[in-house]
Amino acid sequence: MNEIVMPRVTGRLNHSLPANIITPIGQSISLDKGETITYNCTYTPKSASVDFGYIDSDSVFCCLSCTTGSINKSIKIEEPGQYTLAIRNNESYSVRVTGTVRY
Amino acid sequence: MKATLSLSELRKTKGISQEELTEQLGVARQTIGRWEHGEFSPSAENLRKLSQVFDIPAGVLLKGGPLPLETAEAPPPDVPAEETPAPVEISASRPKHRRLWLLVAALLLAAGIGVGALFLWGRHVKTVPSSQLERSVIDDSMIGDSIELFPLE
Repeated sequence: MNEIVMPRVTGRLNHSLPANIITPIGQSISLDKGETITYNCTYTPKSASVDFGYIDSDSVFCCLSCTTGSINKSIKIEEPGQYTLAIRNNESYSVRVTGTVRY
Repeated sequence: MKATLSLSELRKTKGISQEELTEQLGVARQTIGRWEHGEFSPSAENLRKLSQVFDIPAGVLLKGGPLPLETAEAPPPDVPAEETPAPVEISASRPKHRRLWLLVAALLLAAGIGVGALFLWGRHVKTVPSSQLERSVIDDSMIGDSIELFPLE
């Protein structure tokens, strides 16, 4: 039986991300199996390569790559644990990200 | 091509006077005279009547060629052999307009469905299992300053 997991937090992004760095979002959070992290964002310049995801407790950055200037995807957690939402700017220049994050 | 007929000879042979011929054909005596003198030719209708009066085929009354188009009197109105009603021009404008409106309505409906589908598809969020994410081991040097989410307005 599928359970509907409601997001606990929704926040707004309007930040400039430094070049070639992973920018964590807030503190680490505890997520259970089946919970989702939803990124609904756009960024400029659109041509930049930006990765949206999280850092797990093993210091592994898990992400969805985006090169189109926008993202509207959810990540479904398959292992319960501590996670820190994070965004990586792969460019040598800063990128402005706006949108919402739900988890 | 004018008709040439020995009308006077035929008439006299049949023992019919000009007055009697005018009565049977319903034309003026002067008209009969003009026919006989070759000034004018009878109309197709009168030629038919003459053939009946003299009991001679109309073609025999003519000398070479079809019925003439030049006649002494005004050509009779065209009366078809069988009166057929003029084709009723069914107004196609109304059914054509109805089809056009149906086509426009169908196109609008299809466009609305298409827009709605695109809208719903756009709102649909694709979910990716965490096992399918790109993974890279990082260290602290790759991590910058943390940011905080703003509250929703």
